[in-house]
Amino acid sequence: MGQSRVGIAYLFLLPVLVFVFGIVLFPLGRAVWMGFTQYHLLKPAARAFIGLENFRDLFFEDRIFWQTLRNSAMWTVGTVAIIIVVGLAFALLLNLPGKGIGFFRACMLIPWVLPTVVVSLVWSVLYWEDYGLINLFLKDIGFIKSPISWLGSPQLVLFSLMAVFSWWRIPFATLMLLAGLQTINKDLYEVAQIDGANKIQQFRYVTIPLLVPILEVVTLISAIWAFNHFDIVWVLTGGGPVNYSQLLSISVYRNSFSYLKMGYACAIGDVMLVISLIIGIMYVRSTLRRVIR
Amino acid sequence: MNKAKKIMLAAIVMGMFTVFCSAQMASAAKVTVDFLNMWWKPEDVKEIQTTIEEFQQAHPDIRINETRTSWADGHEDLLTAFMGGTSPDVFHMGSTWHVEFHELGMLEPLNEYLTAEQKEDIYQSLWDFWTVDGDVTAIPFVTDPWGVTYRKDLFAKAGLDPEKFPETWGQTMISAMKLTQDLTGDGVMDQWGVGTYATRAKLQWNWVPVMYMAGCDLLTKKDGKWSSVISTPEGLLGMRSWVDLIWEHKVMPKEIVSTDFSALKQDFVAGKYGMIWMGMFISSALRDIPEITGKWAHAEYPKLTDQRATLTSNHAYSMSKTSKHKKEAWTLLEFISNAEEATQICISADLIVPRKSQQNHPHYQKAYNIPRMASIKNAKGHPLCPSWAEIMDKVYAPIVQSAILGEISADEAAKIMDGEATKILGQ
Repeated sequence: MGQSRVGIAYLFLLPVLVFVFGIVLFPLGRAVWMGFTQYHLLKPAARAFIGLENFRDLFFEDRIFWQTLRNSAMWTVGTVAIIIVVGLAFALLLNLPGKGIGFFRACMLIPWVLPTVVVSLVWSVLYWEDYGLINLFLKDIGFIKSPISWLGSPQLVLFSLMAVFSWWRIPFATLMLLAGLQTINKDLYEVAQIDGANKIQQFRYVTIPLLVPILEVVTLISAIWAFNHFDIVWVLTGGGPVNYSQLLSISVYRNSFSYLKMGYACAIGDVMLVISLIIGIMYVRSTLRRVIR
Repeated sequence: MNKAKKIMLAAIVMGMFTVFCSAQMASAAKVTVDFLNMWWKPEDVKEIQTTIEEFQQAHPDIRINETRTSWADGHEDLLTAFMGGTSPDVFHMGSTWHVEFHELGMLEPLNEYLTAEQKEDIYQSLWDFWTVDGDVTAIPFVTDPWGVTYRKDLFAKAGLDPEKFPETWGQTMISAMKLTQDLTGDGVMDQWGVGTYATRAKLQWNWVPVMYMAGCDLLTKKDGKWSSVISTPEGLLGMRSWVDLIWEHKVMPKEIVSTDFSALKQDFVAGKYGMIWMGMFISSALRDIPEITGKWAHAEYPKLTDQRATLTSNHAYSMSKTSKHKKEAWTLLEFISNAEEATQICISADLIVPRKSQQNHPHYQKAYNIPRMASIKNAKGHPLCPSWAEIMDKVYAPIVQSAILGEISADEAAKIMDGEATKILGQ
């Protein structure tokens, strides 16, 4: 390719580069930088570079940061575990041959297409103490005597929220894993059967190893979505009661839009970015290892 | 193309050009005023649109560009519009935002614009609330105080006088204890004396009135410095009174930390609570429920100390400091907030108009409105501290919730609240 043609190629790439720089790299870089500044919207004149001061406050002064970080970790691990296990179970069920399976596959997608605010409002009614369907059902079957406060109990609130988020995200995992299951060559199961493998052994030694690449993708994407999630928790509890369901994403929102502390909010965002990057790097490394193998 | 067709085509093009030019000239002659409001119920939206139409007829030289947002998004919408230099000329504002917006320099001081009639007709307590550092930040046109809504039928069943709500805190606790009952005998309370909602976002609306009743102003300013005063005798009285509802008198369930407005209303209708403490605007939701028609009434909060006090929420209209058409914006602001228009929309929304001249309006003489009107004179807004939103959300709300859940005592909560609030105020 001649030099002039390379120049033209770059010229054509320029709009995309400007676009990516303008709406991704520049805001991201600016947000990272703002984490190192003191920037309160009510005191714009006092805006200044303060080095690691926001991070010092965050790690050593903020009364709820560590609780929030712990909640975020529990939330991410818990929801990803539920999504993968239940998603895989549904994928296996929907992979069975049978009449009308297409209908069930379509129904499976319903939660996924609902907006998160709708999901949250529906679940808030289901979780109502006295007239919520969940408590009424549990009471009817004699499982509980008095209603459970699903969103008001410090011990239960995070798990109740995990159930909602997982319910909303399981269809995605199911869809991906179902696609993976359908690419597995049926001959492998026949060979395993001839070798005397029972159904569980077939699942353990044929299905799972061949699903690993997809499981990795689903786990990574689910982990990043869960870690950054905001809407469902915000609508259902706003991080309460007390701070028992406060996540890092909610802390960022509160500090930026409620308290107008943009610098501090960006510092929390920087911590989230580093954690997300660690998850991302782990994924890339495992993918590269597999490709090399 | 024959000649006739050519002439016809030329005539059409010229006609269109003339219409276009006329339209351009007409719109150039008009000034456009951007108006953001947060009315959401269909009847209220219709009412405000009628008002705008009336305004357009009276002022053909001003075009109103009306946009709407929700209460949930209003704060962020206004904040981002202001930071982006696109703030509307006139906007609807909630009572917890104006101090912050004033600090940001968003609000045009209205002192010079106000007429003597406006100053006189609107209650002074409301002017006090909407005035920050001497600047009148908005014109209040809606108010609604917090108070009690109680079930007359449940009062009667419990042997209490359904027509007379207790005057004092002590009498109210006795009534609440009588109302708290295990109706099925399974050891679980089915009916509670008092209900409210105390989620982190909403707690302030139901906890602050109790603190005010105790005589505690939460945050006070002395020598130009704000300080948190929950650990004062008044603050401790308020905190203990609030926490005692759950742990001492056992008349309110601790699960209120997750109760939202819809659940509280549903529970009240179903008879779970003998009385609920919240904004008396709930009447608009209760009046249309046939099962409880005639079975409920409003009352002012009982006296915790010698004086009555309560919190009120207000809506107001403000004008942007960066408006390029301040004269026209004021014309609109004056029109939509005048006594007559404000009364119309308040009646439509079933809220109280804070105008002395409207006290004798037939709508406000209805039985359920009398305690609401009576409460206005004892009502005040949130502390006018710029850090109020952060302190309430980050410190007061979660710590009060912690006390409600029994994790800490009222006195411990008060001490922690003052300590944490002081840190924020010192920053």
